[in-house]
Amino acid sequence: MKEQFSRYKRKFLIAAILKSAAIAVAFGLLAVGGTLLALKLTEVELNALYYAAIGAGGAVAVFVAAFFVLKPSDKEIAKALDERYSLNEKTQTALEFEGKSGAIIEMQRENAGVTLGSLNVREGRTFGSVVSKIWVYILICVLGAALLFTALFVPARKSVSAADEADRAYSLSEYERIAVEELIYNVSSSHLEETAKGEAVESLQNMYQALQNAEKTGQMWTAVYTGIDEVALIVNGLNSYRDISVSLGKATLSRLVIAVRQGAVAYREQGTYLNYDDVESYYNGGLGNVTTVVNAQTGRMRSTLSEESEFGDKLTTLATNLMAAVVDCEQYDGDGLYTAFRTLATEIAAVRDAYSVKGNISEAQSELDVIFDELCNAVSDSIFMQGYNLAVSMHVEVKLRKTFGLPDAEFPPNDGFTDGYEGGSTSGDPGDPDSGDGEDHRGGYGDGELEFGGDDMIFDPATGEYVKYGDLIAEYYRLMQEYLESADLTPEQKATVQNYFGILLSGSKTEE
Amino acid sequence: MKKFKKSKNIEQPEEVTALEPEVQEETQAGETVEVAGEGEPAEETKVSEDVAISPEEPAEKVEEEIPVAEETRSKINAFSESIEKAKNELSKDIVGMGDIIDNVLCAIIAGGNVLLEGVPGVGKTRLVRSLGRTLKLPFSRIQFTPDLMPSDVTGTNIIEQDEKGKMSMVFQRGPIFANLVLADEINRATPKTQSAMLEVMQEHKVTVAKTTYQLEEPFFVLATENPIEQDGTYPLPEAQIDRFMFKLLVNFPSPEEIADIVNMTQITMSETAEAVLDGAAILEMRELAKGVPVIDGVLRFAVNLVSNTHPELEKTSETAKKYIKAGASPRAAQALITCAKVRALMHGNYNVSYDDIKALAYPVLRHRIKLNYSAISDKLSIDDVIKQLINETK
Repeated sequence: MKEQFSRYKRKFLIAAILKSAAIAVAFGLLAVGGTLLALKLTEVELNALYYAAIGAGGAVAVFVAAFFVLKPSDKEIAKALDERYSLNEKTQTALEFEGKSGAIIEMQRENAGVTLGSLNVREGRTFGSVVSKIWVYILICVLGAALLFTALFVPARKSVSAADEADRAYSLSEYERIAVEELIYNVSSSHLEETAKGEAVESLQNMYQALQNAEKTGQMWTAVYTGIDEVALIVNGLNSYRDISVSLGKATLSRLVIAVRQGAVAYREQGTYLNYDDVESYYNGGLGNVTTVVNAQTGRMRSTLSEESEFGDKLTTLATNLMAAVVDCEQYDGDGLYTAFRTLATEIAAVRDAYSVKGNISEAQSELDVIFDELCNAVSDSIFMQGYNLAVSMHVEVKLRKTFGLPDAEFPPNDGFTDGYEGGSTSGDPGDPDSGDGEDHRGGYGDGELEFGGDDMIFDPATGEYVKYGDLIAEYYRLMQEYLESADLTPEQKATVQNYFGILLSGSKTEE
Repeated sequence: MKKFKKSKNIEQPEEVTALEPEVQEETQAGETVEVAGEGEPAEETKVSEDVAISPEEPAEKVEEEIPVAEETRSKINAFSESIEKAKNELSKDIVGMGDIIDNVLCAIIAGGNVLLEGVPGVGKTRLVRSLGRTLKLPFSRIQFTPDLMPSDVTGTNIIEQDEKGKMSMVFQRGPIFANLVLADEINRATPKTQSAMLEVMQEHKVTVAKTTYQLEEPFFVLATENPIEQDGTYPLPEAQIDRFMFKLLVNFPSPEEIADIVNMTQITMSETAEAVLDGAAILEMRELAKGVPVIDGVLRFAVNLVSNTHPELEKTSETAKKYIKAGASPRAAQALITCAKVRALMHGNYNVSYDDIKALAYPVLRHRIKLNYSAISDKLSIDDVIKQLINETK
């Protein structure tokens, strides 16, 4: 019985080994294939030896584990034999009563041995019954191999660098074509100065041509950015407010600097300028906003001349500064904005001269009223158009960026001014910037020297009016607190923001 | 000349009642034994030449001494041959009923009692009578009727006067004192009379007037009951039913079998089976069967099968929960294993298998399980339920 049973036991062990090997091979293939696929998708590359180690190591470990699980015990083998060959539990009985004595037990054992011995283990069917369902394990191996082959042929994912992106094939799409043609049409029908308009349209057409010929993404970028830059350059060539405001700043005419710069960018309150309708809306909206902004500054400038004390000296200083500014930007002779300030300088000088002779301050004040009214209108007229030019340029840039998927436009910090009047300071009233006292009253970001009290007036772009700094900063502080409650910031970041606004708020207290 | 008091409704036409071991009176073949009825003159009963009465002496003597190892093998071979011979002899008197005969022989060898159920005229009594001839065992028949008294079964003390005129109390053995007892229509007797059978069937002894009389082994009770005679019958108490190892259903024969029966009985109505086994051989077979090994799995299967008949248990079968009112007793498990060992040897196997348990589940559990109304409403028979239990048991 032992001998016959041992023969079958060997068969079962071989089957267990084969099954374990199949599972191990399948696991190895799956491990290698899965690892390869995962690493390809995460752009990690490994030496082939690592894959071999993963596959072999995993297969060995799984083989050992599987063999321990699949290896049948003697009892299981006996049961399998009895069930397979309908032996009526002969084998199990012989095994369970092995070593026990008894006449019938011994006869039973002998009979079981004879019965087992009579079975032909060399028959395929017999062996096949022992190694049953091997096809399942073969199938698992095939699946593992399939995954591996799939992983081998899947291309690795790569992060697209700018250089790679630029090298990507490109062709002008129908959508882009229509957008560019529409843009060219809008610019050509805009209210830009004719010469500049022609140049802008020509630049855009050149850009369009370049886009049609572009075969790579990099060529597209070049064409679009060139178009944007050329239009901006053309518009900057049209506008004089930048240089004139710098000249005014040199002459410490802060109010006029603010008036010019804020007036020029007043168009930004109109919309996003993705659609040309925003440009036309600004143009058709009239001077309203611009006049408000300019008048706010010229009015304050005017008010500094309302007091009788040192009236003459103030006039003299103002006239001198104005003349210096005019001389500094005389290259813009003929420009409306330049003309407005040159007229102002001349008229202020005339008032000064008349006052010095007559000493009639009331008459001088009356004349000053007229002069400043005219100044406001002249500056507003000129600045309005210059703002319109900027709006057209902004529209071109925003439209092209959106159409061709370029990053959104960002206004340069402080509008690119670095003269201390960056962006047209809204940090508050610098006291009396046009007092002519020789002090530098320039405000602006990062100044650090000036402090603004709670009652100091500053320009609120939301309303277009001057409000008390204390009220405005308090409102800003309140809004900041509300935002921080739901903001996705770390506690440290929130503390920094709160500290910053706290300093501003504490600095808004009115000096006594 | 011995006198035996004959009880009413007890036939002892040609058989001889068993004698107690201390009353070892050999009755030689051809000697006449009187069987006295109640208030009636003794009737002469001729002892069959084929039925030698000598309880302590085997009918056939073993002439050779055989070595132990070979002895067992030869005993097992003889076992199988004897069973085949018995079946062949029985087939001379019984048409069909192959499974019934197998199971009856199995129960007898295992030492159990058998309850035969069938409609009248299917051969229940004939089977038992023929079996008595085949097994060379003293056979008695008790016809149970409603007026049968316990003493009619077990015997009673009577006053006897000897030749000298001296009066003494003598115990008159009842027909139960045989090796093979046919209790015909057992469910017609009163519960009181039925209870008299309890001690006999279980312990193989009789207690009358504080005196216990041991019955000779092997002792079997083969009882019959008629299912259609519901009037005037008394259902067997569960305690007594549980003492039957098997309950066998004797089905109505097929037309072909009826034709064979008619042809056979046209020749003679008497049983013609010849003796091939005796009590000693049966006892020997019983001892032999005890040595048949049973693996733990088969044993647990039998135990689980019996446990699964109990709906009140926490881990039981769904069938029991749904269809069974009361389950089988542990005797069922004992009967399964004991009979499975015998069955294995009868089929030439040296070990008990699951098939043996499954085959014996029906006769062992049939009378030990009570079905509930759900089974009745679903028109399930007890065998249907047992089949489901077998399928659910692992």
